[in-house]
Amino acid sequence: MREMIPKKIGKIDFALMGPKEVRKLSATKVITADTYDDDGFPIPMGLMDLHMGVIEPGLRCKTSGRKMDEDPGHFGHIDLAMPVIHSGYSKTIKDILNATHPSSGRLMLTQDRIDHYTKQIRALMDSDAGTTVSIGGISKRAIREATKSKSCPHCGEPKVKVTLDKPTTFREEGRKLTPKEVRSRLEKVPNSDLLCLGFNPEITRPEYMVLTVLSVPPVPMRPSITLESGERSEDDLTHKLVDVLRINQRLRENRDAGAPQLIVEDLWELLQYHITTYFDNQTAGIPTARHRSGRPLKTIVQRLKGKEGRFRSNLSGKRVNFSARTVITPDPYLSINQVGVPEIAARELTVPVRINIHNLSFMRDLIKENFVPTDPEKYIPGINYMIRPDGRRVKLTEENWEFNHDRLEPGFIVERHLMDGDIVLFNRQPSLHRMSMMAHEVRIMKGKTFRINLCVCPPYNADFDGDEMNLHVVQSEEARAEARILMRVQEHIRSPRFGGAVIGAIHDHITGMFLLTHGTASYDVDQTVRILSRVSYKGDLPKPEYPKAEGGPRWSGRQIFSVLLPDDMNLKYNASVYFADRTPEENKELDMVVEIVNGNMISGPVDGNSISAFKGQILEEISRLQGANAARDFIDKVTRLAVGALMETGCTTGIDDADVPQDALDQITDAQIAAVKEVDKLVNAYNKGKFKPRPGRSVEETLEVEIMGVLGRVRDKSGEIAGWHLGMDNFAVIMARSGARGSMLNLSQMAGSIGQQAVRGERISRGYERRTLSHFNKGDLGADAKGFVRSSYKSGLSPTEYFFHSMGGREGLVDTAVRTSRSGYMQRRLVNALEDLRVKYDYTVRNTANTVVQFQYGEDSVDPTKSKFGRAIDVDSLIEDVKGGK
Amino acid sequence: MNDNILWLNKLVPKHILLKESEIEGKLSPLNITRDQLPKILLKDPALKALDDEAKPNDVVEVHRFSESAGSNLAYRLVVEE
Repeated sequence: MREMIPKKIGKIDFALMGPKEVRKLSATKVITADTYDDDGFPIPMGLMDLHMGVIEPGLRCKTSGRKMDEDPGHFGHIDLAMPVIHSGYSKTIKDILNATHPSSGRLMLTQDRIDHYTKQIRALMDSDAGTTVSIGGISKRAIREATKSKSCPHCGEPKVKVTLDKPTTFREEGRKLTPKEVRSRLEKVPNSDLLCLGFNPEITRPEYMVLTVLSVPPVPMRPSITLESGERSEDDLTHKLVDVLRINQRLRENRDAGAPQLIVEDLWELLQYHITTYFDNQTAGIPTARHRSGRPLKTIVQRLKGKEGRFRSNLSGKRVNFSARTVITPDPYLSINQVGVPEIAARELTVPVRINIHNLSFMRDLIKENFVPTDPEKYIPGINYMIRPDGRRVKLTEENWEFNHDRLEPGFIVERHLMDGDIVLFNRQPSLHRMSMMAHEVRIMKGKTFRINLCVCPPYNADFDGDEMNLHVVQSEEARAEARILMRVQEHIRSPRFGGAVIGAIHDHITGMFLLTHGTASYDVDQTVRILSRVSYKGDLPKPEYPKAEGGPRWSGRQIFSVLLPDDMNLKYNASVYFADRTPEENKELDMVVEIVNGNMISGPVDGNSISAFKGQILEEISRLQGANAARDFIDKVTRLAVGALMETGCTTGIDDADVPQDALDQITDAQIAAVKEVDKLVNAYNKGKFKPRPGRSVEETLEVEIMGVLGRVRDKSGEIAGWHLGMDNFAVIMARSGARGSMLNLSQMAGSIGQQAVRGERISRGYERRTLSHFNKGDLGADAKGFVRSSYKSGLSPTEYFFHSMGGREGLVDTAVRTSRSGYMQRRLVNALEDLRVKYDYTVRNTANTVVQFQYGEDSVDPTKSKFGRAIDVDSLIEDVKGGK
Repeated sequence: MNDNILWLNKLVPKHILLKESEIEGKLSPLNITRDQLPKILLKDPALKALDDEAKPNDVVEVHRFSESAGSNLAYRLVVEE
């Protein structure tokens, strides 16, 4: 391939190719619309002429003499019987026709103005610095100015307006202009005026926009495929070219035979159609060309454009080797930095290792162990291929492994199977984040799924209902180092978005830690040792908090948890279970305030506000002050501790967690009846016209707002009543209050009442004429008729309630569907605009042209990952430190 | 800064037209040449509201309020379009 680039490229001009260049570039003229003869041999001067390249093995290209796969092919050309408009340039043609005078071809500007614009464009062409002005912009203004003039300043004649009937018909005062006329007008424009119009006359001319000769792409660009039946199937482009050739031929014959004007014109238009669709088969205003089967043809523009086009599908994104994809399943005993890789995947994925004197015997052992295993149960990485110093790849097989085992020596490269500790990239689509692709360390495991720690689910937005994820093995030493330093999960615990942790304990981990540490929870020696053994705690047990307890000394959960805390940690904050509606003193009494002194937990439970992502204060403190390694260790250990605690205490929830006593239900019903009555009162007042509107609102709006208020309050009230009877002995409540999963609202909707349903933020109002359903009277504005659901999820909904509830639910679904597509496109545009900006070593943000975009990164040069919620310095804790805990 | 009504709006940052002699001193510490600066159009209302008339290739200093740093300095190169 190297021989194909004999020269260094000094510069590239992008311009229209004229007929001369097209012919110069052409390897052959194409005149026959046929492709192959009866023997299956390409017909000379046909569309598959051997001069344009070969697609069959054995044959040689007649232009370069190369075989298939060595030859990229060569262009040919078709001489058109009559000129045809290039549909991609019809707008430009129209502009130029309107800006120049038809008979003289002069640009309709005074010489002064022409010189002025020419000078501007010349200056721009000579400078090579990046500017915000474009040649196109200047010529556009020149054209606009010329189009405005009523008559030609050079000859004084008035001008006639040319209109464009999309895509390719030009009219002058209603009369059609033939492409021939258009071309001859464009030919008249003198070189001296062309620069103004945006054409560089040394390279190109406007009449090139009207084609007289059509370039035919090389055969390898449009290969024909042989079906199993032996039948040949041609590429869409070839099909289209066949059409062009056929009509071109007929047009020539008819014209030469002196056929009636009408027939010639019809054929001419047909040729125009075929050439237009050959370029773009989705041109507005003309029917799409179809295959015999009715499938639209995929012509040049369709090959390039859009998500499946050459650019987005083949150039910006490609398929890669050394990657694997399978279902993910959880494993809390893995570190967040790790990923469990199934053996079968590990034996396909390889890492290239260069052999040196240090690893030679290790690699030899691997080869031997793989073909003569000492322990078939144990996973030992093997070697698929070895690459000899001369670059040859040798596959290791049952037959040749002994030979290759012996000749392996420094300088060889072997492709070793994955093994524990290898660094790989792990990814889940959609990749909206930098956290969507992180580096993990491999742990080879039995089974067929990838295994991950549950704490990395939120950044990937993964769950285990069948999600699949991709794994990529990085292939170079540099890439491995980079992945380990920059991409490992632990480096992503803190988010660059807002300066807090995005990876932290979730769900069961929070429940588990709460159950371990809440109130007076304590554990005997056996339990304590069992729980602590999960975090591989080494050292003596702390002094038991309850040494004289019945049945031996007992340790509090807080003591066990304190094992994970750094000795110098001092914190005080409110737990997630803190009662916002009670006084601080009451809360303190109820053990809802967390206090940590010198790394020992004195009071309070460990819950969401301690260890979860976004809110966890302890996690925040450790990750910010002790670094990524300590944070990872903390999260790993919390996971294990929580699992240990849950094993001792247990945790379960079910329908009976939504049970509330009958008198509570009665209270809720009473409150609802009262509220509905109040609504009726409002409606009555409105019907009697006694309702006074609020400022800025109509009467109807005011009524709606008031009703929504009343019904909102009764929902809160019933939630409150239900909440009163749902205590901390209820696991659903524990989960909700500790921040593990669910909310008290969810619970009150299950136990108490679901409340008002809404579509577009209003009470439900659509359906039949003046009513939502035929179950209600026309004009009924009451609570029940407009989507108020009195029932709870547990008691079940009435038919009308069920219907309203479905309406609200449907809106939610539609919203998500609409939101994802919209935000996806928005994200794409943002990424394309920002992708080449970077922070340089001097803290300026620059683009690829090296011009400054921001003089100081973020205006304060602070890395948000290392900040505390965007602030570079945490003044409060500094003051606490200085005060020394006083 | 003059009493042009434009400057009364708190969202309009303060613009200062630099003298030719000052430019070198401002840009060289930043290791930036004039052509690497962000641009500002000559017809920008902020330039029209200045005391002195700006011309292409001038540099303006922009004092802006910054959410993160309190205040922020930026420089713009005046261009015709």
